Amino acid sequence: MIELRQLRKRFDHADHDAVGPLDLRVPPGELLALVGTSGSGKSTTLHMINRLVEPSAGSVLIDGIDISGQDPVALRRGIGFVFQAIGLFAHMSVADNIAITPRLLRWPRDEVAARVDGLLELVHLDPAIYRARMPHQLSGGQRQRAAFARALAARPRIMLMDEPFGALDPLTRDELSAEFRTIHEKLGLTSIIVTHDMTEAFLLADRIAVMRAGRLVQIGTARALLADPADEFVRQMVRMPRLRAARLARAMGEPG
Amino acid sequence: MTAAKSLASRALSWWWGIAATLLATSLCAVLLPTPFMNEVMIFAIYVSGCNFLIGRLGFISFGQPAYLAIGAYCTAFYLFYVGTNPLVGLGVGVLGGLLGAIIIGPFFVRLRSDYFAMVNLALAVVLFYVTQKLLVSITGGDNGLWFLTQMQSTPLLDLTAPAQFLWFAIIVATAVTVMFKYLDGTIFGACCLASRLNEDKLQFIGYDNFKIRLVAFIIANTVTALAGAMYAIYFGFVSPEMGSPSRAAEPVIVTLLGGVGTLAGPLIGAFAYTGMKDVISNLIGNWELFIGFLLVFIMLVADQGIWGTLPPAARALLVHLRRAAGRARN
Amino acid sequence: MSLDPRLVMSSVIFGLSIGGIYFLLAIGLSLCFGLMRIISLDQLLYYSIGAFVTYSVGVATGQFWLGVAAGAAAGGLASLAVERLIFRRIYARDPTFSMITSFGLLFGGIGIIKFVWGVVPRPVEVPTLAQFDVLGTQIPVYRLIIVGIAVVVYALIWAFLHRTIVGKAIRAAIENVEHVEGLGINVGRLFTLTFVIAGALSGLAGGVYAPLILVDPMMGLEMLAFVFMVVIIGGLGSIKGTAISALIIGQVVSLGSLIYAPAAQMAPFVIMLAILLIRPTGLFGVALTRR
Repeated sequence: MIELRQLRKRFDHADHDAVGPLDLRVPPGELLALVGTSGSGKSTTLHMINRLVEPSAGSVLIDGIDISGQDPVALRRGIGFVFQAIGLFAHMSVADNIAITPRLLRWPRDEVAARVDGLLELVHLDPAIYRARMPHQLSGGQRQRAAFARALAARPRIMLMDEPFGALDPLTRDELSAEFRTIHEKLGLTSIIVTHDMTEAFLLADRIAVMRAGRLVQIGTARALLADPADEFVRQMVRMPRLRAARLARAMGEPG
Repeated sequence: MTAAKSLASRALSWWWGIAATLLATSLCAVLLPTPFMNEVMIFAIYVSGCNFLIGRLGFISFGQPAYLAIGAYCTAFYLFYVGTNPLVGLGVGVLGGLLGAIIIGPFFVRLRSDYFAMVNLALAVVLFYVTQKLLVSITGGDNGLWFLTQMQSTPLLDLTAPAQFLWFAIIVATAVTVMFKYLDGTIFGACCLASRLNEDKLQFIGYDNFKIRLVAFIIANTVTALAGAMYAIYFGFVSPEMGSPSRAAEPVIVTLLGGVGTLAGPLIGAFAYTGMKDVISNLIGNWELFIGFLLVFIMLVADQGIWGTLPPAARALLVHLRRAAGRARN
Repeated sequence: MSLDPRLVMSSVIFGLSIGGIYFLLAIGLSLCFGLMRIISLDQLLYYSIGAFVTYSVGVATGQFWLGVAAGAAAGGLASLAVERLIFRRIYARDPTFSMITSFGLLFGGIGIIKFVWGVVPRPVEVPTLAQFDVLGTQIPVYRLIIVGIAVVVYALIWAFLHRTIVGKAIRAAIENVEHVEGLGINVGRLFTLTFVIAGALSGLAGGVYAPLILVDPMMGLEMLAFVFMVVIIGGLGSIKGTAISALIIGQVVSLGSLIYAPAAQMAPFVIMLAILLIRPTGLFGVALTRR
């Protein structure tokens, strides 16, 4: 379980808080989407959960324990993190990319190899073909699959993803997000995914948290948000997918 | 009307600060030994160039001895080979510094700040070699150039007499301070600060970063050369030692000591540094040990400097006093 | 002007050996910048420490190479202490900040050296006076040994960064430190390791160069400008660039002295200016990603 209590962040030389105060609870096994416009503080919030950004005030609790007292390195090892810009290391093979943390932790060699193969299979990349490939020899979707595998390498129980599908074409995007949902359930993860795409959030997440100007505006299931939006901003956000569907239908010449 | 009035009161309030500093300095000039005060005043001018670079451009230069040496040697060349008037010598030194900065500037100001710091130090080392080994026939190598007795007395303030030189130095230091204060209030000053904080945005609103930096670089290092010229006249002697790269950190240290970007910083820093150097060198003799770790200490705990770390209450009081004085004068 | 080919030959070897020393010193500076974004002038302190320890151990035991090993170890230990006590606190700040701090360390360190060893320059005996005949030119074997050491170090560093997982992690962190941190890798440990490697190499450089110069407290400052120019020409953060530029500067300094000795000290500076004019980040400089 992930719990944020009165979490706040103000960057140096800024005159207002980038985030917060923010209260949020993600129960075990949930997949939560953090949705908001650019600059709403959703990415900063995500980075505070694994201490890549230190909060200015408030606390983050994981399974009831305040993370500010934990060793950040050990903490991050228990949390898979997928970066916005994919972030595979360009000079390392796919296998090296996935295995870097286990190998630095000195897992036995055969265990590491087995882990790499297992993860590649999990993300639907044939180990025999892709183990030795370099990142530049992969398509965008394959790279993102490898990045997922890498984030899962140290057997985290929590996954944090910062716009993981942002750079992908729509087809791959849908395919991958559906696959991630399966992985999430199979491994029993607790996940937070940051996105600005409400359609994606609707399709993927158990609950959706809408952020604006660093604050949480509303949190609930897709159904709840649609039925009872907290304010005009949320109303507009949740109407987007339907409006687009309607416009699409009109463009295709069907009655709206 | 109100705008003019507020401008006038602002001018008065900072004039007041400078007048107070001038008064305090004059008092010191009467009470403290003349050689010490002379060194402090020239040193303060030297540091104010570096202070401007760091405080307004965010550029740290470890090559200030190079610009100091340019000014000093140009003055020395004039007084050793050509003329006898120290004031003309001073002019030649400043002109030399200006020319040097105009030639070097375009190369350096394009660089990222870390490269800038290193390239300047390299320049100082090379100039040191030039004066020490390459142009020995002109610079006299390690023996330097000695022209103390060749200088003629000047009217009003006789620069060849240390006691009168001191008043000249105080006037020059005040003029330099006023100039930097004035620059702060101009569009140019604002652009300098902006280029330090956010260069992309500055470019975006249509100011040319390169030009702003170049002009700031030229101003700062011409002032540094001025300090070099004054050293040359005061000592009546120059040698490569003056531009030695082993003293490259001095102006940076003193800038930090006095507080980066503050107007009185260079003077306070120069006082503190020259005083400490005299005392410590006499006491333990191992000056490097002390100054090196002092620098590390400043960087770790008090990067605002002596002036900048004054208790906020004291500073608030000063501001209040100045405002009150400003009002009283209106 | 005609140049004696034998003189040129020995000059080239001389240039290679001095380039080797530049390389050993510059590689640490360059790696520290690439990974931690610090300008570590204190590397030149470890260089002086290496030379002085080589001198003292050599005098005490009569074993030059033992002295060099001790010098490298002393450089590594000193850098370990400095990293733990000081640099750790300033990694997050601007690179120029670290430059001021390290200049302070260099100066304070020179003070300590003066305190321990005094200011009198110390001679270190050359371990072998053997000469080696290359095309009719007598070349001191010791110069070739220095070149050999530099080549071996280059190969080892290359293998470390390309073949071991820790080395790969360091390269990954040079690419993007946040991504490495996010994976639960202890970046602090990579920083310490890199800094200590740099310090040990600087100590090694001081040790092997000691017999060819006089060991004195200011020796680091004399080297400073050349090491800077090597790093700037090569580009901060690039190992290949550092090696190539060390090679060039070594040759410029030694061949330059054949033509006009005083100008040889100036030539690297002119080359540096010319290269910066074309490429403001040096030959192989990394584009700086802000943190």
